[in-house]
Amino acid sequence: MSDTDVSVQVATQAAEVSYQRRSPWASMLRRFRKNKRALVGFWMVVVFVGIAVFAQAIAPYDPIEQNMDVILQPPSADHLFGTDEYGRDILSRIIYGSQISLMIGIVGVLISVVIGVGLGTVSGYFGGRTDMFIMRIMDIFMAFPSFLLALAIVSVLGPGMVNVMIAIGIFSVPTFARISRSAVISVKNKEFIEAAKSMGASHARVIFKHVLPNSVAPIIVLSTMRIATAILTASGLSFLGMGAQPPTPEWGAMLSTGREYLRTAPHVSTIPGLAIMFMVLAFNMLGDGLRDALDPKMKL
Amino acid sequence: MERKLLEIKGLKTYFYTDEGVVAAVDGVDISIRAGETVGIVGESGSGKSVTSLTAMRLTPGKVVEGSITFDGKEILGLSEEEMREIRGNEMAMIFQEPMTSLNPVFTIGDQIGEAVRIHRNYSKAQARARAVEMLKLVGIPRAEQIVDEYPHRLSGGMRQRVMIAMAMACDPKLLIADEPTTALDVTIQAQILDLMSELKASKGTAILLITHDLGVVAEMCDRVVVMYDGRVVEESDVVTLFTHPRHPYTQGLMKSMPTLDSEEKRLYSIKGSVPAQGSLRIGCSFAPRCEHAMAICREQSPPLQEIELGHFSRCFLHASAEGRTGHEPAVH
Amino acid sequence: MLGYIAKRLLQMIPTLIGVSILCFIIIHSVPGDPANLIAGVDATAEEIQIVKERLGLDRPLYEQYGSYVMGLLQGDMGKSLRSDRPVAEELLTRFPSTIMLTMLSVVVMVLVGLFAGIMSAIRPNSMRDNATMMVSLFGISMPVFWSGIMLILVFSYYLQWLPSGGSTQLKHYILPAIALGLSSSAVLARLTRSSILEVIHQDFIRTARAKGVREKLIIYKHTLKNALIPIITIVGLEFGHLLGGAVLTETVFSMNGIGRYIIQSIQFRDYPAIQGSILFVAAIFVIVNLVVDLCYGAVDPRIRYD
Repeated sequence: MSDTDVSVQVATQAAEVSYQRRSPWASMLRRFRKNKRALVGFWMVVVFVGIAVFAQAIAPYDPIEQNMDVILQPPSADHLFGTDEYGRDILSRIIYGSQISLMIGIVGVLISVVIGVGLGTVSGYFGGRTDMFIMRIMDIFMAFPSFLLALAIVSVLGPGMVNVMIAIGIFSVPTFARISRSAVISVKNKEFIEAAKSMGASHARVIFKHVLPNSVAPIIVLSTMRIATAILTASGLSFLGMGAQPPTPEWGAMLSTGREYLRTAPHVSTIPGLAIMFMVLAFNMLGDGLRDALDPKMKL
Repeated sequence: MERKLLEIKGLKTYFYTDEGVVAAVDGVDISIRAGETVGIVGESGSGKSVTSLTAMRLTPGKVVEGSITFDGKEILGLSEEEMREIRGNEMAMIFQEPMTSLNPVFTIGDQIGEAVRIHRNYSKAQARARAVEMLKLVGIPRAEQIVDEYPHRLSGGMRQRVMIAMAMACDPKLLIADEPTTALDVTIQAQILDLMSELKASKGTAILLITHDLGVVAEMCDRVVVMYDGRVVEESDVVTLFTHPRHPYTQGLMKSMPTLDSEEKRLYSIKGSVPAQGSLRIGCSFAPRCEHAMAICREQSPPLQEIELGHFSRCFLHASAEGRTGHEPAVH
Repeated sequence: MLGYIAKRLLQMIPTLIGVSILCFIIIHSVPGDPANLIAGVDATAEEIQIVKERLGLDRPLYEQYGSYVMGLLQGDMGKSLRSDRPVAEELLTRFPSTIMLTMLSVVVMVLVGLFAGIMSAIRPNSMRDNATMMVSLFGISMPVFWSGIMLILVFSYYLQWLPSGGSTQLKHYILPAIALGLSSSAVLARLTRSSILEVIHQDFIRTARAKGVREKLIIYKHTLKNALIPIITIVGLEFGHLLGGAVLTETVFSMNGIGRYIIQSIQFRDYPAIQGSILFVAAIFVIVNLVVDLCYGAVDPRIRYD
């Protein structure tokens, strides 16, 4: 092969790569930037992550230290969000609580992405009996109302943050398995997959180099939306006493104890609820925006 | 001369998109007399469909200029309610895609009868009877059973018959047919065209036939309007257009038609393609593809001239000494 | 049609078997021995052995599952450790309350969700549309236990219009049904909007307009009937969310339903009760899905049952 041939080949390959990589992502970024709701969601997520990371620096008080002199005080200059039944500063507890909610949401979803996408890809790629078997099991999981499934798992594992993460991780698995399975099936029979196979690429290589990259978009969107669901579910479990245990400043648990003082100090349960809502809202808006930017026709 | 049923004058329909303004229809004049069949011919993107949708006031675009009179009324000035009374009643329309143009969740009878229920206040039973009558009229066998069927049980050709039955239910004065046969098999095409001719003969309905198929035009039309890039480039009676096309674009279209006695192995095709809509029009928009293009064609836009009685063409060739010297096109 | 229903009922069996196995596995994967947990931390070896024998926990797992399923077939879900009464009986006394709450929530969801979705879709990208969609985003993001508490705060404590808890009279169900239904109605509103917008650009809508159909009928007749298929799907799926959400709502409003029963059972580690009630709710959800499948046929003539 002469030098010119090689350079031509390299040039065309480079052109193909840049065509594949740059143009769709660039137009995606453009659409994302034009979507106001998505941008607001994005910046809200950034703010929440910032609060969680710098909690120690921002929080005016210790989130656990009790101060019986100032119990159940309404919002004031000293305590912007007031104090709870042990005189703890609610603002500081909210700030520290963001660490817990974010962590449960993100780790929980990561667990389900790894398991779900793994199962879905194997299922869609190999088809046949493997597919039947895996998807049947997923169907059985889907037969449970999802919150109930999480509750059942936690009830067995016992209360606690790690167990909540595991429960959340398991309950989103079927959703990820389904979406990645259908993404795999839609590209499985395309020519470039056939070409790669005919050139002797191993299954693993075909899956990781050719099949998975094609299902990235829906998985990113779904992950973002599932983080929102995960945070909501985790706070529900904590509200029922199945999640983080006192004195951990978990939002759902704070809300739950605040119920007892609803008549006298409604801020104790109102404020954690607002915190949950805004964090969930942030991820929902971001997810919506990503979907519209990546593929408005995506059915999620 | 018979009075004009539909008269479109200087119509401009623009689309305002994120990428800019698209002049889909840019100054079009078309008129139809009662009982007449007029064809609008052009490639996709020439503005022929938008023109017809504008006549029904169903275009998503915005009418910037012009007037459309139907049966003596200026319809661009009517209220939505008044316009609604004309649609499906005096002016009806059938579309290209019979597979998707019928509502999948309502029966054939419901859909045909809807027009008479709206416009003639028919009862349910009367509307159903009318639907059966219309189905028989358009040649659908077992009309009494088909009337209660859903569209997915019918073939494409049958669905197009249903569409025609639906459009004709109120005996409209004008039927606009937008590519009515394009999506159908060749044999079915002929049947549908025959049906339209019969209905026209028996009911005296005027037809505005939008198509890109010159064969359909030759079979059906009295007069033809050729559109290119949002404008009329040639208009004449059908015989003249086929024997003496004057605009280079029309000549190109004629040459690209397959004929049985043709000795050439390959069909002629016009170079290039319809310009992207929204691009600025400087000069004649056909000039980049025209074999006869002159300097002036790229600078000025040619006017639509009546070169013979009832024969209009938009080309500078006719302006220069009748244009017949070296360029007289040899058709056949 | 009857044949189809019979076929679908038969198809439910493997799913239900799977569900029961999964329930069984979950409960029996408790770290450590369930008998230990049941007998208590300070129980002696003999006490644990007695518990084991009483519950049959000393037998192999498949045998335990077999006798459990045999029991289920006879309507026996075992006895509650807490009350020593049959679980099935305890569930049946609480079932009406939960089904009432879920049904009322479905009504709230459909009324609010459909209305909001249609209003949005009629003028897409208008102020009204953007506002509705923003509100529904908030609705989706709101924890149902929090919205319940806020409703209690406003309507029970401040305005004193409705009771804050209980489950004996219809008025007890109003606030819980609103709290539970609203979060799902937000989901429904978004879906209704997008389905309508998808349908409204189809060719047959243009055909209807060309016939002179008024815009109101275009939406409510021609578009909505087509958009109903995804709408029914989401109503079915949301029913599952409502059943799950009932756990939280019943806790907030102190209602004597299956949801709160599950929580109480979990707190007491009443494993037969947990297992039975989760299985029971899952079975309801499976049946709801069957009903949803049958509804498709009523809406879409292209679906045939044979």
